[in-house]
This record gives sequence, structure tokens and C-alpha cells, in this order.
Amino acid sequence: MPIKDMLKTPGQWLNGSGEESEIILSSRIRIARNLETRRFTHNAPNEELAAVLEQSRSAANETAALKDSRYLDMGGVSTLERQFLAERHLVSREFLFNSSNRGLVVNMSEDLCLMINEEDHLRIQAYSSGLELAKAFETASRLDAELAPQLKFAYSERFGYLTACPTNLGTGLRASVLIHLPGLVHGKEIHKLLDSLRQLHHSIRGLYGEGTDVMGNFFQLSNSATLGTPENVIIANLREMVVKVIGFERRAREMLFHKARSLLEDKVWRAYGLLRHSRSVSSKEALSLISAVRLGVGVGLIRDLSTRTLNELLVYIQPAHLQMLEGEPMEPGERDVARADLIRKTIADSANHQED
Amino acid sequence: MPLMCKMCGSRPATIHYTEIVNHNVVTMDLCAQCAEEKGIDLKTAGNYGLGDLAAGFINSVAQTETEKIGKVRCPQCGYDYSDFKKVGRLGCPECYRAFEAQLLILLRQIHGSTQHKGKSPEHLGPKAMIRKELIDLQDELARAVEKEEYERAAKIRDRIKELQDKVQEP
Ligand SMILES: [Zn+2]
Ligand SMILES: [Zn+2]
Repeated sequence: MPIKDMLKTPGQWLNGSGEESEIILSSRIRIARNLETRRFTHNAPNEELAAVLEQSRSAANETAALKDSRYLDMGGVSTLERQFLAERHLVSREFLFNSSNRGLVVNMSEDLCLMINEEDHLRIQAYSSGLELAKAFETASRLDAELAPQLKFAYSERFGYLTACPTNLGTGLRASVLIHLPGLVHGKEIHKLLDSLRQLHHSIRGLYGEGTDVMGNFFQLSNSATLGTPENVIIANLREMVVKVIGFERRAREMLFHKARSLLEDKVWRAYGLLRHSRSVSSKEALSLISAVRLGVGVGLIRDLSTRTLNELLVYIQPAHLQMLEGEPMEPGERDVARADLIRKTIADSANHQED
Repeated sequence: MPLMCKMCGSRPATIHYTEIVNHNVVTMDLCAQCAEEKGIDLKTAGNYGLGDLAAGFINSVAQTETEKIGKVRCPQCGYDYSDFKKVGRLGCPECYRAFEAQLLILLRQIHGSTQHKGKSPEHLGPKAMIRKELIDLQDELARAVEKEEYERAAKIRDRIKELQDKVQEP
């Protein structure tokens, strides 16, 4: 089945359902595992990587968790397609640069996948819409439990699951949420929050853009320690942290709504107008407009648009998605036009559905 | 204010020794618990009483240990510790055993812990429960030694020995 088919349906984790979904886009669980007696990916010669790939792939084939799935050999996939998979959060940037003897098994609803020969031999990833960490963890754990009897995972009593980088050691578990914080960014409280989260052993970074240039007010919040704390506690701690941040964001939104209502309304409606009528829009501008409109939907100003539509746009307006939709490579200027077209059409369709 | 432990930063340092890192002499000030986690044999040291005598004993243990480690290569993949420092990744799972003593400080900085708690592979079977208890007992032992409750420490040690034998049984 060609990768292009994946364009037809967005991943289920974008569907705007689940707890707290107007602030939390999605929850993700990643579990790192390696095979005993094999060198880690970066240090293994090709024939060893090929053996790991073959062994892992056939083990994945035997699982019920990945019964309804497709396998993608990264070596046989174009750079554009790899970028497309990265935009869908299915593969990491590591796969963009290294492709031979790398593989991806992904289920049809795209809420569970297995990267083979990434930084670690195996990376299980599970996704869920909204604040649903426990649900995603259960999905990932089911696959982990099915793979374990077939593959001997590198493990020690002291250090737990052994990983290529010591930052993933122990549980190999990275739990994260994609969180939308326009209120905190606007209220300039975000840096205080970032500092205190880091002190509390959690990490937060911009989803799009790096450092101070965070685009669209989207952040990824995750646990930073993986060793010494059981999985369920890591997840409970992260959840507790996320719930607090949601509380701060809500307060910031209320402040905005009460103290600067007309300014907020103007910003939201202007953004909505631009999205509905622009003929050319860059990624960066689109992200900031979508962010403002998403805030407008969240606080109840805009009622004819769903969180789901906006979540899906976030993925589909990215360069590789636009080019896959177009069926050919495009220059940045052409992409800006295609992006504006896609946004207008999507919003018009969505508004029609609302009237039905 | 007492000198704080360099590894955890939260408990007073009661053990002081030097080690050689990259040809530099580094003085380490550790609490009893971190010293134990770093692989310094507190149980043996405990028999001498945790005074200056023990500190001197640990000092010599630690020095020979680190000098040896400086030259150690991973028997499985041939990596040495400087390879790891360059690349930021270990060469293979076996590297963790080979560089254990060096890694402990780093792991404490990254994770605030050096002992896994959580899932273990299914094939470890019914002994997993005993292993879990062992981990808790080792923490308790470290605390007892730190508080200088040697009588309680001795009891915990006996229990650990007993459980370790059980785990060893085929
Ligand atoms: Zn300490
Ligand atoms: Zn090795």
C-alpha cells in the first residue's frame, strides 16, 4: 500500500477527543528497548543492523497489537516521504538522515507504531488524543509485552532496560503531551513556568521552532528522568504537572477574557478572517493564526469550527504534506499558495458540516 | 553548613576520597548512600566502623578501582569510556557493566537515581518479586548505615544475603 494513501485519513490522535482536549492536543508514550548481545544502532555494522531489523520485524508480525498495520522499509522510501512521516510524528528526525536498515511498523489508525533501528533498536510509540496518558501507555505496554517473549531485551537488575543513551535508561519511558499555551505566552508568564518545570524534573520545549522562537504557542511537556521511578509513577507525576499547567493556562485565559476582552476578540476574529481569505501564507504565519483561532474556539468565541479541524490543519499545512497532496515537489512560494488554498477549503468544508 | 554530597547534593558528605578522571585528580565528597551506590564497598567498610579508618580504606579502594576503570574496555564491543564521552552513547548493552562505576555519577545527575524501579522483562519470571524486595532492602540498608544504626543494618544485611541466595538458586 503506497504511503500516499495515508494522506486520506489523519492520525486518530488528532481527532480532538479525550480529556482537556482544547488545551492538550495529544498524549504520547515512547518506550525504548534494545536487543541483548547486539551493538547499539549507531555502533553496529550493516549486517548486524539488518539482523536486528529482520528479527524485530518478524516479532512485530506475530503480535496482535500490530496485526492491522503496514511496514515501511525506510531504505525504500523517498526523502519527501520520510519527512511526511516525521510531520505525522511517526518517525524521528534521526530517520530523515539515516534510512538503510531502518524500518517502521505502523497500525492503520496511526495510534501505535514501532521504529526499528532508531537511536535504540526498538522504539514503541503510542498516541492518544487529549490528556490520555494512561490509555496511550496501555497501548504501548501491550505491544511491549507481546514483543518481550520473542526478543531478548537488554536488561540489568540495577539499570533496568539498557539504552544507547543513558538519558533513557531504566524504564526507557518518555511520556509527553502536546500542549497549547496561548494564554500563558500572551501573559508573559511562560518563562517563569518553563523554569519551574525544569526544576521539577520535567522538560518542556516548543513543538515548532527552537529556543525563544516558539511558533504557534505549542509545547511538548515530558518527564526527564527515566531511571529510579516506576512507569506508573512517572505517568502520574507528569499528569499531575500537566493538570497544574492547564490550571495556569485557564487562569491566564480568563484574565485575558476579562481584562482585555476586546483586544482578544479582535485578535481571534482577525486571525479567523485571514485564515478564511488569505491567498498565500507561510508556515510560521499559519501556525500563529491557527493558534489564535484555536484559542477563540477554546474560550467559546468561535463556534462553527472544531478543535479537530484545527488539529488536522496543523499537520496538513506542513511542507511534506502539502507536496504529497499536490503530488509533486513545490518551491516555498508555491507552498504558501497551496497552504492558503488548503486552509480556506478545509474551513469552508468544516463550516458546511456544522450547518448540516 | 556541612559540606554536601557531590552526587546527590542533599545529604552531608561523610566520605572523602580522590579519584583520577582524565588525568586530573578530583576530590569527591560523598554521603554514605551515594558512596555505596558508586560501588564503594560500605558493607566491608562498616565492619571497621565508619570512622577515619574506614575513610582511609575507602580511599584506597576507590583509587585502585578508578585507575583500573580508566583502562577498561567493554569486552563485548571494545568501547572505552572516552569513546562514550565523545559520542554521548554507549557502544552496546554490555558497556553499562564495564563502565558502571563511572556512569553512576552521571546517572545520578541525570535521573537523581542509580537504581531501576519498574517493569522487568517477562522472562525474569517469579523471582522478580524477590528482586524488588532486594532493591528496597538495599535502600533501607544505606539509610541505616547513614544513621549509624549498625545493629539494624546487620539484620537487613542478613536478610539481603538470604534473598540473594534465593535468587541465585536455579
Ligand atoms: Zn549523596
Ligand atoms: Zn559495549
